[in-house]
Amino acid sequence: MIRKKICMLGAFAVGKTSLVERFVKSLFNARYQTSLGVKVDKKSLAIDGRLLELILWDLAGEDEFVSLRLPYLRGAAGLLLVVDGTRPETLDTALALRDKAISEIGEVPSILLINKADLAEGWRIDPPDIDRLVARGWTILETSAKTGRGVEEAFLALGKEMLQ
Amino acid sequence: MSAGKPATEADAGADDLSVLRRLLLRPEQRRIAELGERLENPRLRARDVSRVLPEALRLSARDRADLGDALTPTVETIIHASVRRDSRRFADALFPVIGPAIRKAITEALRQMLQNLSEVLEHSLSRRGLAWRFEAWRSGRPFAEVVLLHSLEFRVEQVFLIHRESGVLLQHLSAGNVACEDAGLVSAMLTAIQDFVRDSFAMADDQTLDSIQMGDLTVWVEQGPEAVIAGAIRGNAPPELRGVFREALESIHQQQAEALRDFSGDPAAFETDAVQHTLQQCLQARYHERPRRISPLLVMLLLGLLAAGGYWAYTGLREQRAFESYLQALNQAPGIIVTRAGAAAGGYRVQGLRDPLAADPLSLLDGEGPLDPQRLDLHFAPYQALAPSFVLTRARRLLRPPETVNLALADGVLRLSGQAPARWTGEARRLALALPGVEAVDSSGLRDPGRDELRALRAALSEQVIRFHVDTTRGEADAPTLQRLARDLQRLQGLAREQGQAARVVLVGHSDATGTPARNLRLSRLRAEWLREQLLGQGVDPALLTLRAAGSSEPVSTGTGPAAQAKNRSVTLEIHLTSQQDADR
Repeated sequence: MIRKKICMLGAFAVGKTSLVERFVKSLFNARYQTSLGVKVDKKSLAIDGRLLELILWDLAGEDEFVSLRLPYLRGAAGLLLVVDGTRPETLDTALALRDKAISEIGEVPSILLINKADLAEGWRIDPPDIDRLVARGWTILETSAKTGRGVEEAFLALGKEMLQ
Repeated sequence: MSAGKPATEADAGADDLSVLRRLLLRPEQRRIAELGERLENPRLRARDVSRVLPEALRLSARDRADLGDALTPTVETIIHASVRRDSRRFADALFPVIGPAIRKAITEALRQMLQNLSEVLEHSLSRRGLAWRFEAWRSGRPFAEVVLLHSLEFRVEQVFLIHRESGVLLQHLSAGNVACEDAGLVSAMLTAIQDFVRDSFAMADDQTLDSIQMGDLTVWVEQGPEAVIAGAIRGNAPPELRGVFREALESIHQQQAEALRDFSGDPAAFETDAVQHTLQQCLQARYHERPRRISPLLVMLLLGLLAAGGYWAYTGLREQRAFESYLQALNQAPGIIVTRAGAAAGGYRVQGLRDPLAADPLSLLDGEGPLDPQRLDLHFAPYQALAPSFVLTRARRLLRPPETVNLALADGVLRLSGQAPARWTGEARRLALALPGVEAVDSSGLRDPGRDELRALRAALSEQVIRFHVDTTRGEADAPTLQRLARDLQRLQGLAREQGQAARVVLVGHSDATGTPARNLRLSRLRAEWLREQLLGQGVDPALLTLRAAGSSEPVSTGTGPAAQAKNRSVTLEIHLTSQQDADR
């Protein structure tokens, strides 16, 4: 069994917590996130016959008032970056957050999740932007907090990358 | 050189080379062909692998932890398939282990239960225990839990070994019957809290949050370079426990230096016995062992009770002794017989017989002694005792003897002595025989002075002659003589009455022989009448006196001389004594 710490980052109100809550084991109340700035959940996976236990640090979303608490990133073996597909600026925030994180903890596997995929017709992120990121080697998944689509795959993808 | 020649030359050269190769490398070529055959032929390859597989598995299991992970899905699949195909075979295989496993689980559960039960019993009936029971009732918690919490000084309930940088849990131990949340999440959250505090208060990286306290639960955090030990402690942990945590942490850093440095998420390296044992050292607990001090108040109370008990026993004994000697005194007292005696509610009860003449039973009690008369319940039935003293007393009461009489009793004979009127004596002799204890009366020692006096007085009065002059009816006796006579007569009457007799005095008138008989008779009667008048005048009872005129027929003196004649001119007294009954009749 392998235990890994991963951090979930994203702008304020991109729906990180609601995206994963159906897929993780929660012990702590969501209030922890507003008071401590982080909430810890657990996700167990089996990848190639190996058990992987992800300790998911769900960090409070960043905006102009709340900045990321960098110490929470320490020791993370992977990053989940969450973007709100209807708010293009959240993509920039996610990229900036990743840069911040990388400079703090070094290069780690990252996966970008474009959330609220059920509102695909309301998407305002330019497809070329996404293509450019994919070309740069990003793994990008579309997810839906409502249907849960793509979430399990996102964990699996990140897990696989971390185990390589 | 033509275009083809070199080719031909080259061909020739190649041939030569191959010939040379064949000549030089034939054994190796054959070997390569053999190896190729072994690699290509699945049967041969399987045989080869089967030769090394056991050893390979052994080595892999020893050096690499991922073999187990790799095999797990396969083994699970095999087990699934096997159970589906023939569950009975699987059950047979499990049978020898499942029994002991269940027994072990039951034993463990029973042991835990007994431990809790003994704790509960120990505290059930004490004053403190009752208070705890009340608390359990009030708080709705099980009594055993309340007992545990109160008798606990401290207990390390959980120990976390945490990778410092990532907060990933390396190892977790908990004390028996402590409910644990997901340790992996708790360890991550603990790390987050550490980070939060350090970040929020701008503390240096080497500064750490040592302790988190909430209620009676404390979380102690001990930081090492690569790992952290966190202990959840219930109660008041002693400072020396810090040292235990620190030593454990140092020891783990030493044992697992490499594994800690290269940690990449696999906690298997920390599942060794050595790490477990080191962490186990941190799971300490201490329970209150209150020295059983006896409160001074209790000691005083006990001493007081003891003193009171001693005093009570002492006074009880003293009283008992006094009662026994009192009983002895009662039994020795004449006229008292104790038939039953003993302690009764509130004191002592004595039953028996008592002669009314006997001493008052209470007077026999030593007034100054320890026996309180109020605590005596005396019941005596009356009876007559035949002790000589009682018989005599009763005789005295019954006979009312004159002071001149002595009474004595010997062998049932009542002896009367001294002086007493015959009338009393006769009555006494009659009455005394009716007294219990008197069988005979001896009154020979008793004299009657009244009878003697009566006899003497009678004699004296019978000699008395009251003279008269010739032919007169007036006596010569002067007043004092008459007074003395009257007094003697009254005395006579009294004495006779005392003797039970009636006295009658006849005044007999006489005359001398001169004169006629008729005249003499008349003269003698007048003389007697005169004397009676005189005596009555002196207060003599008229009933005592009767008259008789004798004339000259009963001369006092038979002489013929003038002196004799003078004697005959007189009145004499005849005293008659009859018994009282005759007199009454």
